[in-house]
Amino acid sequence: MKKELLLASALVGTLGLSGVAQAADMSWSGHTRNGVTWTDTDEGADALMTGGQQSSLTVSLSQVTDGGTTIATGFDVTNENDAATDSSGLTFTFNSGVKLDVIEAGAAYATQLAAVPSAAGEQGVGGTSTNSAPTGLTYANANDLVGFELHSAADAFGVDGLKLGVSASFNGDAAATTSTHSVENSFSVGASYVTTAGDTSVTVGGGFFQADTIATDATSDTQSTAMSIAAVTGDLTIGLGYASGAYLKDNTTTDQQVTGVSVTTAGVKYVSGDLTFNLGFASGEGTDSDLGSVATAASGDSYEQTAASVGYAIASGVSATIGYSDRSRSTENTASPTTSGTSWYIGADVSF
Amino acid sequence: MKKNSLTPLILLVSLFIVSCSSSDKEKKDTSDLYAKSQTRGEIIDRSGTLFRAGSDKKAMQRQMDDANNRLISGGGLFGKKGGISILGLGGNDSGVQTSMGMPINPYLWKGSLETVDFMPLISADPFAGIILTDWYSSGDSLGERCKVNIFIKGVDLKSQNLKVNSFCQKLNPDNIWIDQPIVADNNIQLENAIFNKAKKYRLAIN
Repeated sequence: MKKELLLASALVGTLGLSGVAQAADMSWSGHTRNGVTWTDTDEGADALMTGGQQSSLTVSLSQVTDGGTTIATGFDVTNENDAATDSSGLTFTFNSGVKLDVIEAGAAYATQLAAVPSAAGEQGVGGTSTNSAPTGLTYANANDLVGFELHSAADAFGVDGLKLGVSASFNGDAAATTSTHSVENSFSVGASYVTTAGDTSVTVGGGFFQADTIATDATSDTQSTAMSIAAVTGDLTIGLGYASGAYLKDNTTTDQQVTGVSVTTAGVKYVSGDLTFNLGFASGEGTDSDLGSVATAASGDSYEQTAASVGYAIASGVSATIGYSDRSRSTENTASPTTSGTSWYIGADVSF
Repeated sequence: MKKNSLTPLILLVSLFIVSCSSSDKEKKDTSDLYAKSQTRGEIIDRSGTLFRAGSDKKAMQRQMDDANNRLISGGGLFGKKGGISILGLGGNDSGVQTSMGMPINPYLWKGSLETVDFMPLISADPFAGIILTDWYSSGDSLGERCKVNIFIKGVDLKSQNLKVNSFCQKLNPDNIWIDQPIVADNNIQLENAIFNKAKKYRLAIN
């Protein structure tokens, strides 16, 4: 039998199949978001109405080797975040289900976090760089371009529903500075577990992230421990997440270190036919100081938001969103009315 | 602030994860379980969102926005799978199975049948994606026989949708067939042979 098996493989080789160019996948995909946002701050000034247009266009390329390994890459022709061309590194997906991202890879803990429902849309009163309170569970993300993220196959270690991840980035040759922050090396581990209980599916995920800085003045590093849980039962999804740690941030004069960071998120999503209702809450706090300086209790910043949205599926790839948010911020333990207030959004998303 | 001294540890952990994850060749199908997973990674994979966000927080938010839009609206403008194929290469061509009325990948099906065409078949169900062969002995090894079970589990042409189990027996002096230990390499060789034939058919059609 083994001879026959070998023959089958040999036949493939004899016919030259393993030597011919294999089918490649090459595709365009993209996303646009257009809408109008009204913001009304607590300071009492006139409400502001702004139009928003964002778009991204990506070329994705992939190839499957004879051994079944998929090699994928791509680049953004335009990027809605910075309007710049941006490459996507390389992704290898092996037969075993293990996936490896290299170059500009993500952080493992963020990949494995359970997504906590939150309002869709662009609503929200903008903040300033002086407020250092985190707004989400992934506040700590900061990787160098040179790095990897390794995703385990499904059911890691033979445990149904378990996935693991590890990531790291390396910039050990970067020149040290005194008070200008930049990531040197970073690493992260993450894990997620999904299981069912009756009609309910429960996902628990989280992990740890750590990054060093090149700034010699800094007396703390970026690090975060994050965990979240999401439960889906029928059309209802409920989620809760928490993260804590510290991080470093750019600032206009001297870069800053933010310690005593904690952030809590909670949310509910309900789908009814073409309508999707989201309700989310986020609360974060942290204490900032210049790199190397001792933070004082008087320099605490906080952020709190309650937001809701209704999405309507218009057609395949097209949805409309109406969103509302109520944000409050305090900087240096003092309420910040210019960066607090309510906001509405109406717009549409188109993906292809 | 300080040099990261844990890099070697990370690499070791990586190797450990790879080895432990890839060794479980006989695990059951838990795709239904992951279809409900709410991790960021699973949601993005499920949605068909193709662009990578790296660690940039804004890009990650856009990535999730795009994924959520695709999930609530049933996909992209041009169908469930993300993006549109350029120059007719690859892309959505695994959807050919729809016109054939088969819920499995037709290339994997055809490649499987051709790979085991030297063996007698007990059953070949294209709707369940199952091919079962009868016991087969080659002419120069009459004291050994084998059979093969092939499972095609999805519509996409990818290795995860193909599973081969081979079983062999040897005749002992008392003329009783004795089960032999399963050789995982044989299964992998068969899977590779089938997969290569399937890719050949897809290339021919394109």
